[in-house]
Amino acid sequence: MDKRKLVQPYAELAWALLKTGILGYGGGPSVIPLIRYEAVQRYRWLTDDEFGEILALANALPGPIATKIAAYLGYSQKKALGAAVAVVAHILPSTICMIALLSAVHLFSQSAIVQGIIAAVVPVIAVMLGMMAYEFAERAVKGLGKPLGFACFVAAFALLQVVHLHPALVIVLFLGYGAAHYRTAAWLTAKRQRMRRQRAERNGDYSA
Amino acid sequence: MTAMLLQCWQLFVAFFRGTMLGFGGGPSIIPIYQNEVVNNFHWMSNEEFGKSLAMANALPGPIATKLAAYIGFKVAGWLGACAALTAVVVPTALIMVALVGVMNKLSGNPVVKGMVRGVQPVIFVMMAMLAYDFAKYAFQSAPALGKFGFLPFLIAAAYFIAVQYLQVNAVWGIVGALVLGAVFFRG
Repeated sequence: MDKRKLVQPYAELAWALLKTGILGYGGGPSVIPLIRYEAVQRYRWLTDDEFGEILALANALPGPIATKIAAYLGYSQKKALGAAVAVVAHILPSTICMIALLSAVHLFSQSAIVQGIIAAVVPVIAVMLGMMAYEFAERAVKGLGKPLGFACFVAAFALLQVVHLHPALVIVLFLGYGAAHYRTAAWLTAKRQRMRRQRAERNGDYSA
Repeated sequence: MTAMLLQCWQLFVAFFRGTMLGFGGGPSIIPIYQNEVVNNFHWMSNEEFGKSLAMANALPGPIATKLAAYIGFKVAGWLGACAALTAVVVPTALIMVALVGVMNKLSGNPVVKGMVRGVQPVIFVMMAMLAYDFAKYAFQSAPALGKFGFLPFLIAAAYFIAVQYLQVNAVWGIVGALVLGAVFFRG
């Protein structure tokens, strides 16, 4: 009895995150509603609002989102061991599948059928990456506004393709700009307003 | 043995760096990993990376961890897979748990919000460049296919229409392309 009570929270964590790791097709975004269901409705580890806050934090930090949420859920229930159980349960099945599948493909890579399969996937990769790229472009334009968004595209392209700056450096540069983005935007609006006010006052003086 | 440990260390460094720069979830990390794996450490060709990516997309679970596990495994076996996975999962999990206390301040913080937004144009350009590379590979394979030379274009168009307009799950798009390839692309 006592022993079962001891193991049960870990078993629940492992089961909830194992399921979501196996059923969540298509990466991060598709998994989040599934994890929300397990954590909020089924096991009641937290409220819907709390889950929303956790999700917002996971979105603001670097790295894959689902593993960060899994780590938090595990930690909130059973500290470090809970976090480890939750994360491992979430990623282990798909990890092993991935290694097994690609090793099999490698093993049969001389077979004409496997070569055909590999060739057919190349156009799909191109379209897949293109669609993801479009999503990021859309988000960038929405987040930064049209003029600044397009200016950033040109600047990023120039730095990466013309100057051949290391991509990590380019990312750090843009992160740095992003950190100051809101302050810059606020400063620009304030300046514009101040100028407008001054002009209005001057006009007022003339008319007076 | 020392060579193996060195490789594991390099895997850790590559995936740690890549993950820490990947703001905005799984997909944003892909071009950054590609740069580490293909351009920096030469563990794979661009094409091989693309194949791994397609498989990772066809399987359930987070994309970044599947990519890291497979690439780590390919470079240094199971130990390599562990090293790469640790680099992806552990640091970000620690940061997440550590920051939950100051969460409310952080996720609404204009500096953090700005960083997530500021990096998106770079991810777009890197992703688009990668897409261009693969479009190029697809065109290059066309002449060798003889009378089936139109197939790469057909597959690309069909995948796009199915996933974008008919709401078909990307998994079925990938599986469909694999079947077509098994039937028509044979030498």
